[in-house]
Amino acid sequence: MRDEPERAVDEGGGSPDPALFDKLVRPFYQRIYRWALVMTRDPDDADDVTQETVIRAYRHIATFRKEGRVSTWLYRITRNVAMEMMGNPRKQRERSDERAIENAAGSLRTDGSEGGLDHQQLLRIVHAFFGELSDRQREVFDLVDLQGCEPIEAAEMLEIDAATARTHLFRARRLIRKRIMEHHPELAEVLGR
Amino acid sequence: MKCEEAGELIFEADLEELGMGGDSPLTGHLRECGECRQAAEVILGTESAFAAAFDSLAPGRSFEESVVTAISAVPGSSRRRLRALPVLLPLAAAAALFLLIFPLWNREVGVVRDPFVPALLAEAPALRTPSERSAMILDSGDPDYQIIWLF
Ligand SMILES: [Zn+2]
Repeated sequence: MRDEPERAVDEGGGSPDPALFDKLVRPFYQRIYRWALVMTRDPDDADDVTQETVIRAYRHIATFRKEGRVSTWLYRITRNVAMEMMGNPRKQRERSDERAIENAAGSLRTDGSEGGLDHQQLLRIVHAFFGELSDRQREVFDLVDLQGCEPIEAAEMLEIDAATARTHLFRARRLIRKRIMEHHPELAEVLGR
Repeated sequence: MKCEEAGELIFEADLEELGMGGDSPLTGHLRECGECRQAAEVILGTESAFAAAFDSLAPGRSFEESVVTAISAVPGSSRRRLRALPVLLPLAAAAALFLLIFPLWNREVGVVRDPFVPALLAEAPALRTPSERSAMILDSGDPDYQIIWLF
């Protein structure tokens, strides 16, 4: 994964350890938020999930195992928190929005830069492009193609086997690339789509 | 390889392969076929924009503040005190001096009730201090901050 911090040291002990927390968890705030956003597809929910994840990590920092990856440990906490929150009917969100997909796809520039996108557009993209994917597909796609994890690492974070992770990844790519190609019909035709 | 065949592969290919890294049958076709290469570039460009968009997202502005507040409420936490320490060192030094000069206010536990000086909240056996040093927690008068005095 890009910018993976060092594997951490767990010296045991049962109480919060601010220094260890600062070393291990603080560098992950943004990444936790991003994971949370992918999981919830809602910025307010993502804020809540991020905060709760960080607090749980603080409370349970002594349970972190030194042979493990910080990212894997934090990702699992984030997932648990998100699942708890999304299990709440109040937090359920609309899963598919065709218009949002159209708008978001139109906002994305294809020259490799994100110039011109404001925060609302970004959120619309998050909502739209991931709207058709299952939770697993969304997570694997984000981890591997957007964040640069190896599929095996993503599988470990999601607690699934590597073959299953790759299956989710391929399905996610197909759905997303199909959407992208819809905006380039001349190329889609060449590819037989 | 025909373009339709390449299309099948393009829809599942790794990004590196779309960027013509490596030496697979697909990358061979992409090197030769401008249209398929263009499709691969569109996909790569869009997914890169997508990744960049995500990279720019961050929690709300009040996030850190909320976390610090929440963490300071965790039992056994010394988080807030530790964070406040660098900022409040001069104040802590002044408080320490005051406590040393005017111990008569309360000889037993050193409680100082003057509102203009920090009040001793507790001696702090739970704090991990440098060797042979003790610590006290002092009220700064600001509910958001407490002072740790190492002596
Ligand atoms: Zn071709």
